[in-house]
Parts: sequence; structure tokens; C-alpha cells
Amino acid sequence: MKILSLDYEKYSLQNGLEVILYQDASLPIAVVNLWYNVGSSRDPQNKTGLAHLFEHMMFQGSKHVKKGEHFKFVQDSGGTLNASTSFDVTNYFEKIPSDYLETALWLESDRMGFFLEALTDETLANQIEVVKNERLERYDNQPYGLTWEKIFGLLYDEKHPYHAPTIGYMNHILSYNQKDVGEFFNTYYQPRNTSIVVAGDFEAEEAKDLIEKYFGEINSTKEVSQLFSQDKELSESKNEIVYDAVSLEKILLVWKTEKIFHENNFALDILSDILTGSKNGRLHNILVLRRELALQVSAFQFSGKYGGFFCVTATAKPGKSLDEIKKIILTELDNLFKHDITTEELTRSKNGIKANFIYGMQSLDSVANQLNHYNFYLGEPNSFSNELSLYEKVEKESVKKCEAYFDKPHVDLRFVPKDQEGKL
Amino acid sequence: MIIDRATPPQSKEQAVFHLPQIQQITLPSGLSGLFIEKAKLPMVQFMFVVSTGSAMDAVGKSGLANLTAILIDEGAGGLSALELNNQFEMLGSSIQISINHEFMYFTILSLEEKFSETLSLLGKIISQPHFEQNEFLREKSKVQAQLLNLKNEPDSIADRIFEEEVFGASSKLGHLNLGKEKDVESLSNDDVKNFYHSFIETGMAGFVCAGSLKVDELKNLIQKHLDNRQVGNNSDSPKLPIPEKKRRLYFVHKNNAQQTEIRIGNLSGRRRDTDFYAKTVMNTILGGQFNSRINFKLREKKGFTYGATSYFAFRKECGYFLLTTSVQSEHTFEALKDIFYELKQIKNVISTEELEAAKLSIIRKFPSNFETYYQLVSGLNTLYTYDLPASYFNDYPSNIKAITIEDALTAAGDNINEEEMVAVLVGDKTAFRDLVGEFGFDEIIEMNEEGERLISL
Repeated sequence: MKILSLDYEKYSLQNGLEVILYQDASLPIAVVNLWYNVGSSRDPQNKTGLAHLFEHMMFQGSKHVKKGEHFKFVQDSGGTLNASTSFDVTNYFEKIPSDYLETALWLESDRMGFFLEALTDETLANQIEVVKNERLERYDNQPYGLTWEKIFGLLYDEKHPYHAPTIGYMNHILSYNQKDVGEFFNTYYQPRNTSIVVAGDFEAEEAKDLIEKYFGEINSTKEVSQLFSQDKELSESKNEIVYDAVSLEKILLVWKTEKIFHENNFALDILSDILTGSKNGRLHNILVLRRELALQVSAFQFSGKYGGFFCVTATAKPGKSLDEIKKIILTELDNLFKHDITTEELTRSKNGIKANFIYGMQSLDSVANQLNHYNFYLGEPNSFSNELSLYEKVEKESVKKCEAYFDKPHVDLRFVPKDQEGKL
Repeated sequence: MIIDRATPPQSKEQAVFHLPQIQQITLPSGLSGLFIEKAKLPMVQFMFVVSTGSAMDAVGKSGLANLTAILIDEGAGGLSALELNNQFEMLGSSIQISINHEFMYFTILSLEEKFSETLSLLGKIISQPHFEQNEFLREKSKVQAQLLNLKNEPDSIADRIFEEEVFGASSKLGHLNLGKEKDVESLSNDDVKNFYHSFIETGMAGFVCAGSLKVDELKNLIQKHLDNRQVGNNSDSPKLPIPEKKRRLYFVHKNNAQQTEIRIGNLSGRRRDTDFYAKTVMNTILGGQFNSRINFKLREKKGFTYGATSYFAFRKECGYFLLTTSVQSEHTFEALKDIFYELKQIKNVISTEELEAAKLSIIRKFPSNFETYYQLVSGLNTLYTYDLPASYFNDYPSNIKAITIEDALTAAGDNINEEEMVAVLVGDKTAFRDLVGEFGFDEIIEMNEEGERLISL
């Protein structure tokens, strides 16, 4: 499909920085989007959350940009900006009026090349407090807030890069010092460990000159070591109950599957759609509509560079049993694999996926980020059509083949109201 | 080459932005709406807006409008809920039905080639819903379960109490859309049907749309699929709130909570009031952006919070100002001191630099509000909802540009009202209970998680 095939240009600077240019002049805006090849998977075991804290520190100023000015320059220009840290990568972006492209490149290059000069105990102490609050607000003080920390902790052993939460454990957050931050910067924040997408309304030659001007002089110092991680299968199923400040019980069932872009992942995504993608999803139909045991149920496939899993989660209606819900989930999975998947189920899912690919092309920032995403995981930024065709190729048999994952041990995590603790 | 990094780059000349053309459509039946043609992708976003909402819930029947909105697509036009859903999915289309206090929105998204079929399904939902008893019982019990969940979410509790208290008991513009537990318990399927007949079937309605199709195609399709509906004239409007000249603090005690949710605000004017632009500029300086005064102080200087923001929210004929944040429990008092200081200070001092930066930021950001189909539809909906003139977007940049320091200070003085301030704290009361007296509240009221008063002190 033509609209899913983007004309782009990709090249590298001498220092190793990968550059991807994508022109789209439909609005006078531009996006600068950087992916640093470092995420929480690189956190030292006793300093979890460091990659995420570092992302915060990148907004605290650099040699030529004072604290607060990064935001100020972007906001005064009418732009928006943000950053995010995942297990695999750290992402930074600015979306600005196209006449401010140079400002965005100047800002990003200054913190890539001259970050350490502005690092102080004061800015570090401030951001440790902010991250502490982020953890309290988004995880500790939220009902079911510890869900993913628990799931990843149970699924992966301590040596695995996905064992600890990206935000980090509170005692680690409070322990970071300037040396940790400085070493982290020197190791990972190098041009050769980074790709930059510039997308939107600009002249290609001019953009290339600007990228060379601002990023060309930043040296890549040392090789970044490869991270090798062998994901082991669970030797036995694991169960945990969390007594939390919640009213409704919740269950998560998780099976290990595959790393990102593995050929089975497309079938697993379609499986999740068949189970819970809509009112007609099999699990939704039986648990929410027919048996009225659950308030909601959802299934999805997660995958990253170092591992993946398939999760089914349901919130029980008051007084309904999680054991019964689990039994039905397992029975329905078994039915699906043992018996037929209908052509209608498969078509419904594929039609939705195809439409979503087109809807996904609406905003320049998400297109820019997707270019970096494909480039990072596949080495080819323009993989929209390819990815869609992999979904279109999924057959009934390829979904049924996924049964093998569900025959293996799983994680069973439950949230139960605090006042139930100690009661049988 | 030596690069001068110390001097920020100068921007080039500002790129030219052409506003998309807004087309007004009126069908022979009288149904009317707004449309923007956008050819970039072969897709259509369409929103049918009915002028009724949860403020129309009768006394003792809160939650009725919400439940009606949930049930309206659970079976319609001879198709069961599942058949209907299946048809949307087979088309790769989606429908979202949502409700607020004054409006009910039916939003569909489809590929252009599937738009006619999608609109036909929407037509069935709007004009021929089934409202089956079994669907009613199930969805009602789900709402009841959602209400239970809400009691554990400190942010939702704070939002709920703020809106209920700022609008006051006499107006329903602030009540919780989901409804009160005991009211929801008493709702029947007949209530739902009656609500539909009284307020949706013949209620005032209009539409907004952005898509790759031509205006004439759109007209034809609406006429074919949507226009068999009577054009309503039911224009009951909800009671407006009466401002209370009392500075009130409401709090909910959460034992050992590590953070305190804070909401502080007051009633203010309408969306179409002429000081809207001055308010927008003023709030950009105060709390609308990351670098605004409040977030900069509470987060970047003090490290009390992950974020703090302020904004103006609107109903059709009124609105409110709100500052919202969540801070570490032990810093609650100090954070409140900072907040009250900033709320005073914005009425006294705004520098030329702050003013110009805020204005430029808003004006330059303007083109990026017209990127996605959803943004276009939301923009059109703003015109529709608040009766703004057709020239609104054309004049927006110049209206912002015209704001002076005096205008912004006046907007702060007029719209941030110390005497009518409503503050809500949800957290461990031992962190603030003995200290808040300093802020001169006329009343300090403890509430439960459902927003009911426990004790007045």
C-alpha cells in the first residue's frame, strides 16, 4: 500500500550517528526524534532505575543550555517535547514549527555532547526527589500499581535485563550519585549508540548540513559492549498474591513467548484479538457477557529485544471467584487451540490491524518514532508495509501453533483487597 | 569549523500556515454541522453530537445518562450487541460513545471506503436502539463495580469532590457522570428508555466531521443514513451554579498515604467570554506548561512532585479554574504555601518577557493543532459546543497577540478567586490537618471517598 511506504534517506555521520530523514510538507512542523540504544536493561543490578533517572537528568541543562532552558526554548518556539525510557531504549523528541528545526538540533546535540559540564549535586538531588514522586504517584500510590514490577520480577530471574522495573526500586532511586550518572553518560550517550530521525517540513540538504554542524564534532569514545542475555524458560509455575488497597480482585496469567519481531508474534497478536479484542472476543464474551464473572478482561503480547510474554488479565466482579475465572480462561484457550478458529475471527482481526496501520500515519511524531522503532529492531526504517504483510500472512494454523507456549509453566499473579489478608 | 554553541540559533522566517477551510453543512431536514476536507489519508472521523448529558439526570437518578450512553449500542436496528460490534470490526471501523454533563458524542472512525457502511450502523444505533433487559442488568452491575474501584483511586476521588463542590449541590454540572452508588442501584431499564425518548431521540443534535471525502458525498451519506431522525427542539438546559462566597477545604483521609492529591480552584466564566484569550495567556505563564511558574517551583526547584498543572475547564455556559498536583505527604503544607503564593503573585506581577514568551508559544503552536483527523474534529466540536463564531480560528492568533500585561493581570484577578476557592486534599490527614488553618478557610470539611460529608470542623 502506497501510503504505508515512506520515502526516506538514511546515512551515518563519521562518528557513527545514524540519521534518518523523512520529508512531509503537509504542515509547517518538524519532529526531531532520538533513540539512544540504552534502556533499563543496562541498569546495574544495585542501581535499578538509573537509565530512567538519566533521562530526567538530560533535561537539567548542558554546557550551553541552563537548567530549565531546554523546556523554555522548545515551549517558547511553540513546540512540544518529551522523553521515555523502556527496557531497551531511551527516546527523546521535539515537535516544533519547522523554522525552529535548528533550535531542536542545537538542544539535542548540546546534551549529547556537553552534558557532564552542567551536572551538579543540586540538579541530581532535585531529580531524585522528582523520580521518587513519580514512583509514588504512578506505582506505589495507585491501586494495582505494582502489577508490572511483580510480573517482570516473577517471570525473569535477577540476572535477566527485564527483571527490575524501569522506574527502579525506591532504595536504589535514593542512592544514585554523580559518579553513577557520569559513567552512564560516558558509556551509552555516544553518537554511535544513537539514531536520529528528522521528519516533516524541511529542505534535505539544509537539514544534513545542520545535523553535521551540531552533531559532527561529538566524538564517540569507546565501543559499547553488547548485552547478551539468555532467556531461560520457567522451570515451574509461580503464584503470588498481593494484598493491596483495591476493592476488586484481579488476576494476571502470563506465559513466556518470543522476542520482538519473532515470526510467531504476529499470530500471538491476532490470538489476543480473538480472545479479547472486542465484545466478540471469546474471553470477553464468556467472562464479561455470558457468565458475568468479570468487569473486564484483556489479553496482549509484549515483546522486547530480550524476551516476550503473553498476558491474560481479568478483574473480577464483586464476589466472583478468580479461580473460576482462571479455569474458564484455560478452558477457552484449550478450546481455541484444539478446535477451529473461524474465518470471520481471523478476518475481523486483520481488518482492524490494517485500518490501524493507516490511522497510525496521522501524526508526524508517531511516524517519526515508528521510523526509529523499525530502524532499531529491524535495521530498516520503512517497514510499515512489511510489518502489515506479516499480519496478513497469519493463518488459522499459525495461531493454533502458538499452543506450545501455553503448555509451559506460567505466572499467576493476583491482587486481593487488603482486608482479605489472613482470611481463607 | 568552530561552532558557536553559546548563542542559540535564530529561527528562520515563520513558515506560512494555511488554515483548513471549514464548511458549514445544512441538510433539508435542518440537521447541520461542520466539515473539513482533508485528503492526506483515506479516512473519515465523524462525530454526532446530541445536546444532552448527565446534568439531565433527574434527582435520585444520577448515572442515568451515562448508563443510557453505555447501553445505546448494545443492540440496535435488529442487530444484537455482538452482531453490531462484529459489523464494525469487519469494516475495520470503530465507534466510541461518550457522555459529559451536557453532550453525548457518537464518534466513528473509518476508512473512506467503509464510511457509508459505518455511518449506516451509526444510524441504527442512534434511531433504533433495543435496550434489552439482560444487557441493562449486566451493564448496570459493571458500573456499580467501577464505582467500587473508584474509591481506591486518590486522584479520581479528588477530581470528583472538586467538581461536585465547585459547582455545588444546586447545579448538576459537576456531579459524577457514573452516578452515586445508591442512585445507580435504583435505576431501571424503563428509566433508560425514557431518558432516550426524552433527550436523545428528539434532542437537539449536530455533527462535525473531518475526512478525505468531498462535502457533497458527506451530505448524501448523512441524508441517507442519519437524517430520518426528527430534528429535536428539546433545549432544556441545566441549572447554572451559584457561586458560594466561602473559602472551603475538603479532605479525605487515607491512612499512611505517601502522597497528597491537591486540587484548588473556583468557578469562572464561559468559554466564549471575551477574556478567554487573556486567561489562556495568563494560565500559560502560571501553570499551563512544563516551565510555568507552578511546575517549575514545585517540581524543578523543590522536588515535591512529579508534576503540577493548572487549566480552565468549561461547561457550555460556565467554567472553572483548577490547579492540580500530587505531592509527597510530608511536603503538603509547604506545597500549599507555594501554590497560594503563586495564585496571588500572578495577579500582581507578570513580566514582559513572560508575556511575550507565552504569546509566541501559543501562536506558534497553533498549526500543530490541525494535524490529525481527531484534532480537526475536536476543533470543530469546540466551535459547535461553545457557539463560537466561524471566524474563531482565523482570528485566534491575532486575539492572542493583542493581549497585554494588563489584560493578563486582570484575567488572573477576575478568574482566580480567593474568596470562593475550593480546595481538596486526599491523603494522610496527619500530614496537613493541624497546619491548614493558616490558609484562612471558612470551612474545613472531612469527606468520605464518595464525596459525602463526615464532620464539619
